[in-house]
Amino acid sequence: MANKRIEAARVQTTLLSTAPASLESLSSPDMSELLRNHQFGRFVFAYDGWPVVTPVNYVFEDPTIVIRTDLGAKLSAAPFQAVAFEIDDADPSGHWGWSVLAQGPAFDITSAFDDRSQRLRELSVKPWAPGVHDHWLTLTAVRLSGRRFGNVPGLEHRFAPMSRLGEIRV
Amino acid sequence: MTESWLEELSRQECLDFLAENAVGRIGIVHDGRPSVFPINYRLVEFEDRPCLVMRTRPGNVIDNADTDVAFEIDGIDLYHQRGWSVLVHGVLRQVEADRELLAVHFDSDTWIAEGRTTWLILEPEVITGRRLVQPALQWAFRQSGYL
Repeated sequence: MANKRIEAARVQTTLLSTAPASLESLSSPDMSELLRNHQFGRFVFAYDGWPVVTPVNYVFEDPTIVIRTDLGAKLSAAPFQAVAFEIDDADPSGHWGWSVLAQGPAFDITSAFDDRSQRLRELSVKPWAPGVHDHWLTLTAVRLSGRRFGNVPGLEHRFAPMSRLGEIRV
Repeated sequence: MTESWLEELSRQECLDFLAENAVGRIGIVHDGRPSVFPINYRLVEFEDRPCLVMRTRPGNVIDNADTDVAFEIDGIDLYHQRGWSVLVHGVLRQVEADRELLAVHFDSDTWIAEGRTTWLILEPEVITGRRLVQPALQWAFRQSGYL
């Protein structure tokens, strides 16, 4: 009996590890949760038609990504343009991974008077990099898309691999 | 605590990071809108130049985007709030060659290989890298107290 269980576990492990990985879409609640639970991502903007990808610290206040920056390329090229923001994580050996991409317009809210901008400027956005960072940039996530493969820790409860169990023949 | 500082990485350090890693993010512009996607890649020597080789599905957004692209990798230590990043700019080209041969020499060991039959090669024009350094952590007490 015990042997049978071990055998079953072994078959399951083999199935899970050799099944070809396929990409699945993340749901909106999952994407929002992932954005809320992280503090570091990559801000993408076009500079003279060239994409530039820069790591940044951020805070997500649905549906807005808030970052702080110095005078520089981000601040001169991003406002009023379409930009993107990405977070991701993956198992180093490739068993699971996910990514979330937010796309929308960027705004410089440094001196905006509206209530929402004022509230966003009170968020605790803490850049690790040295510098003054006294300019506030936002990305309004008009479009969110996310993908995952494998059993992502923390998300398994929503993606129970039970369907695979049905494939096991001992 | 003293403030952190940014260091430029040397070309060799950037290439070492690119050689050590297997997943990066490709930044593209499509219809004026930038986006970025994680992708498996491999650093190879191609005509004595370092190149990044990737695979994608024919006709997908990367395949259809402008060929002026960015490629980024980073390594972040959340606990110590430090890390590094490497940014590559270059032109993305489709490789028309013997796929079998490519697979043997250049395969990027794509985690999700299904349908990814288009081979792309990124020849770097510019490679830059930065490292965020935090000052060495201080002992909370006199070190001799532990000895």
